Amino acid sequence: MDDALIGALDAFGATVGAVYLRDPEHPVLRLAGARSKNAGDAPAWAAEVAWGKGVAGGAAAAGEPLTGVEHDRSTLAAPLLLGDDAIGALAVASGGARDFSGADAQAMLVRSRALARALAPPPLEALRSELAGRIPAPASQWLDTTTAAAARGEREAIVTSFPAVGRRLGREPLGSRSALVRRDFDVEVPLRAWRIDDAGRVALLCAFAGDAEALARELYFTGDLRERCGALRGLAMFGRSPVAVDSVLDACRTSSMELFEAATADNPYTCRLLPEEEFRNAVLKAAFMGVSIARLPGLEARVDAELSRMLLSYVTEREVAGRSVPADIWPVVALHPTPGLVGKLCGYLEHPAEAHRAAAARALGRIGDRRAEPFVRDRLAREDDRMVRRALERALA
Amino acid sequence: MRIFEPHAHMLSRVTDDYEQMALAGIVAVLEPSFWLGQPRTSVGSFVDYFDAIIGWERFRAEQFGIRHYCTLSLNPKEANDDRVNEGVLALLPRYLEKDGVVGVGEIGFDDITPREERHFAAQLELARAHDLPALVHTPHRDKVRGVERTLAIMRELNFPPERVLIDHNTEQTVPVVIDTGCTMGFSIYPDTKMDEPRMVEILRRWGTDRMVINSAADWGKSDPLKIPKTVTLMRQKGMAEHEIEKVVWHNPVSFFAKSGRLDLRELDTPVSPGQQLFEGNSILRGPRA
Repeated sequence: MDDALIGALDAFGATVGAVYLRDPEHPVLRLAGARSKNAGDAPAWAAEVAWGKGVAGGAAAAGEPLTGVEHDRSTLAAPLLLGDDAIGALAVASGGARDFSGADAQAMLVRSRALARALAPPPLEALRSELAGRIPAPASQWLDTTTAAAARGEREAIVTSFPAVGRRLGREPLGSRSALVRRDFDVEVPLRAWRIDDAGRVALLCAFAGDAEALARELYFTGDLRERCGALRGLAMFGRSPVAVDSVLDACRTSSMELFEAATADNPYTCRLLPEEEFRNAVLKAAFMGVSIARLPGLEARVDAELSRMLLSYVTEREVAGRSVPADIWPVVALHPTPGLVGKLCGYLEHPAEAHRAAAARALGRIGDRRAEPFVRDRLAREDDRMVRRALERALA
Repeated sequence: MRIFEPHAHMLSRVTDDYEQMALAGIVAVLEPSFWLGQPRTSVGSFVDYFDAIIGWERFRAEQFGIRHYCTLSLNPKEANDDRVNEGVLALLPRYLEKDGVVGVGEIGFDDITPREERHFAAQLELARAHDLPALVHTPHRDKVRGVERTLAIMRELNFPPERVLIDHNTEQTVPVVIDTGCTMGFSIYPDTKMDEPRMVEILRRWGTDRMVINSAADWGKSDPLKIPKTVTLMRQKGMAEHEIEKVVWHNPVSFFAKSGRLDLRELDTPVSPGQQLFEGNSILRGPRA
């Protein structure tokens, strides 16, 4: 936490900084740490801030960075986000008349997210607390007994319990806005699409004192659809070798949305370990199936000219048929633009859907082709939507 | 009126069937495993068949707002086939623990052979071990003797009759089964087995306790709308609504609830594809324009 604070002070030329954490019971943030650049600077951070109040409380409640003047200091705060859930806020302030820019705010958010990941509990603990309020006491006891057996390395206990998790714990959506954190990859695994039985199954696998990766693979191939989803979500948390890649490939061949989504969306194992060709096909299929490709972690690091070509060819096919195109394709193909793409994106700046306008603006910002500038300015002059305006402004910056 | 279809081989039906079943008020369907119209040559075919029933078929049903449950077993016909019988029996313990598996079945007799008898008994023991009720098929030929043999084996094994559904009954078998405590199933078919007018007569004569009706729709000439069609006739013949509801909903639900795996709360919540978290699926052929 200290390192994060010092890093933020240096990065933004601020004099004081603080970390606030959300009280689990009450709508308040409590001061968890503070640093000053000079020993003489008074910290003067409130020990407690109401949720939604002030710059720090406001950033946490809004889930986005906020600037303002507090105690005669220019202050910048960003929420500590795990998924879409703010667990606190990171704030810095500067004594002078320093104004924090939009770019500062975005950079601060990157830092606050990194700090949130560093502060996140281990996956098993996080899953237990996610489930705690959502399943009845007997279900909780069953899960405790079973995870205890798993922790003793009792493989058979997991194999026998795996199919029963749904009827023991429930199958409803988990309804969590939070995310688990995979430390070795330093990535978040959002829980938004998980169901209660997914959380239970992954808890069992995470607790296992043995080769969880090989076990997940076996449970995939002997499991029903829900068990398979659980095994794939487990791999998202601990899969690190190619040993279970065949289960992901199997899931990528299915037409079950649920299974395909578990295999690809929010799954860093898949996105890191699928071989090049298979990865491209998985991304294309995601676009085809209606899974947002923005949910494929690390996609931007892996996208190449061939994938860009495949996605744009899919776009053309959809356009020829008079069908809609997923907006999240634009920023991805912009990493490897093909001839004519800038013109097409300028056209999408005028699309009736905000998502398309924002995505096209982001894509144009990435390509940085000056020919697009008049179109971006033209749109900005007429744009009402806040999110789109921000994307247009960033494209011009 | 909500309908629980307690016997339909949906794997061999088309999506039009699901659509019409849903429109006719069928909200849940039970798929018993059986044979495929021709013999399988290896145990692997059963693995794929069971996987399809607990996976893809359930998914398909849900796309039409229908909950899908199943019973799994080695069927009586293939109990006679030494290429597969022992292997399938060895597979079953793993599958019987799966979610949505609410019974062992169809088991029972086809030609009433010693092999059928041995595997029927072994699978009643499996049902006991996994705490599941049993769905029992009765032969198309020499049916009464098949039913009598079924009841005899249950007695020998001391298998509780209230956990057995004896299926494909006719006017001849009703008197044999009626006082045993078993649930009695009737398969309403276009040409063979039971038809709607005869069914209504049976219900009027013998009452509705422990009586269930089904379409047994499969790959042969059959009609997945036979329950709603029979309901129409029941109404026309003046049967009370609560009696009808007992036959097409309460009786099958309370029988399969004996598995402890039929979530009644879940049954009360309609599945609708629109409730799923994310749009689109291959049955609806990809996201629409």
